[in-house]
Amino acid sequence: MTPQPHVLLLGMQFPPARGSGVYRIRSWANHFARRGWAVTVLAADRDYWVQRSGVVDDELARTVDPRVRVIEVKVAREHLVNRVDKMSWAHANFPRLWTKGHQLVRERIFPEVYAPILPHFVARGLAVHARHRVDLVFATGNPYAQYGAAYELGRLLRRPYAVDYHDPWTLNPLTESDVYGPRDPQTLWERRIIENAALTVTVNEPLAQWYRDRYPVAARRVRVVENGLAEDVVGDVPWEPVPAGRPARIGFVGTVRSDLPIEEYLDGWALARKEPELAEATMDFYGYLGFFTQNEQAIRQRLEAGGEGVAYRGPVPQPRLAATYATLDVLAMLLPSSIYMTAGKGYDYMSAGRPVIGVHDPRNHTTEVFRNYPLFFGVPVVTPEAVRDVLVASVRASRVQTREEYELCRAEALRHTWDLNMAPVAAELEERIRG
Amino acid sequence: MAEPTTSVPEAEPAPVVTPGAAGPRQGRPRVVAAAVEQARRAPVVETLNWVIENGGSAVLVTADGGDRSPGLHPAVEVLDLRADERRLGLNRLLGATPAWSSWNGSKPYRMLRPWLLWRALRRRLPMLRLEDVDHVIIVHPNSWPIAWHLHRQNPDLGIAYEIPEAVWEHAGRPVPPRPEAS
Repeated sequence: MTPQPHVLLLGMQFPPARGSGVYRIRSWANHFARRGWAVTVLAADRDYWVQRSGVVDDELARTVDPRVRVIEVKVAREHLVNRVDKMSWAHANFPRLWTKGHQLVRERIFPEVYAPILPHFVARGLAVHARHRVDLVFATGNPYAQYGAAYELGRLLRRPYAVDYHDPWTLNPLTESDVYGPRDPQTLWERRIIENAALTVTVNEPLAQWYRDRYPVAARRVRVVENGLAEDVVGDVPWEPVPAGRPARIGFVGTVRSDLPIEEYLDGWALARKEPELAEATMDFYGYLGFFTQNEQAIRQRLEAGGEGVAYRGPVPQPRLAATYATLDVLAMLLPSSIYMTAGKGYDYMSAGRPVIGVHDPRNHTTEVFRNYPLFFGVPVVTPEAVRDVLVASVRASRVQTREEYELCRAEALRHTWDLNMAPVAAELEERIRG
Repeated sequence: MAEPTTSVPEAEPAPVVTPGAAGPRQGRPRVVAAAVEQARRAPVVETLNWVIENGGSAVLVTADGGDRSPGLHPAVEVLDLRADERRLGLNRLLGATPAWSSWNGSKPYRMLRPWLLWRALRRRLPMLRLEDVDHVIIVHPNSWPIAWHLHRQNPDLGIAYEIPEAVWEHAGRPVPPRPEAS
């Protein structure tokens, strides 16, 4: 190992990309840099995100440690183009041939739609290593082709690699069932990647156990790094007692995805607003609508028809996050109901020091994360009636909340920072490199 | 050059439009449907009829080599490329032989056919009055070559599986109610 270890981080979704996974990748880069590592990130080129998401998050990009070196890799994107006028000549003129050719390439390289990035990431990784010896390859996905690139780089460079599954690949976390059969190439690739990885990291214990059960050869090398609080992004959230007589203000802050229980929540909202505690109450949704522009319209229409007091307020720039939380009395955390899902935003919610309602199945791992949070109101079952009940209870709690309770909530949040969560695994990787 | 298989009904004269002109214009929206195979033909016919009934003009580009599609409004212009297809390249040699039907139905040919149909349409472009076209309806990936090339020639026209409201707004007309699904 060189005096300063060098990690090559494969993070296509690195800021200025936006989306829930971006925070985790950014935090890995910053954490390694703070530990004194040299950090090189291979990320998708900026134009790719402009085209895919319609927007980039430059504020978040500014929170990346200046010691982190980011190399933009031109991502092949023709296979993702669905506007005929934007297609290449070959794609538009010979659609069947082009699709067959792309499928062939995928089958030969890697069984995922992002397969074309694999050779680019491997080539760039080799070039980085030629100039500055890489001690560890660390891939975080999706895209899962990055895991394939980590495997190939580990083999070519004879260096250890670790894979961070912030999204499972062969498991559908929503249905809790396998996506592929045991002989499918995805399953075979995943086995190869995990069994040869120095460490496999995932976001919660149920997922970790799934990997241990599925890949017993690697079971002792599976670790959990929970998502965490980005205290540098959220900052201090001011708190004042809720003035008597002022209508309650409830809010959701995060990406409004179509797989959230929006219907149940809005139906519950309509019931709750008939209760005296929520008279004239407002429900503000802040954040991007879905990850991709094509999903926006349907979600926007649903929110705009959401009922009395409901409003969509748009995305919140990073510097405005704390101020936005400060305007709210209660935070609503909507999540898909699966034991394998964890709310990345939950930690930010904690740091706001306010009552948080959890609208998800109690089996969801987020219930465990909030076990010691003093003002958590989780639904026992995701129904409109249960949503109404937690809305009423949380608004009541907000009206009698004390500064001491606020401080307790904040203290609990600060036990879940990214750095605290990542430190044990980063230390273990250091030990492994020192060998 | 032989006459193409077309039926162009009498219609109101098209408004004078500057080719490639940006910004709203007053007039009749003109829509082309690139429906070179039978897939989704019924909804395409319904959509083109709707355009005609609401004051627009419409062209159905096919390669059927037969009668007009059932139910098609008489004011919809039809440009059938089947005869031109047979006169393209190697097709010219095979078109009148028994080998034509096996070549025509073969996998390699089906992969090339959408592009060949664009080559056939290229000879008939004046009939589309491309400078007046606001929108191209695609129905299948086989429509893509025609739509892509038409857009290259007139970058102001839109391409989609449906007709967006902007087509009507651009022509200075109120957006008519959608036809009820049959």
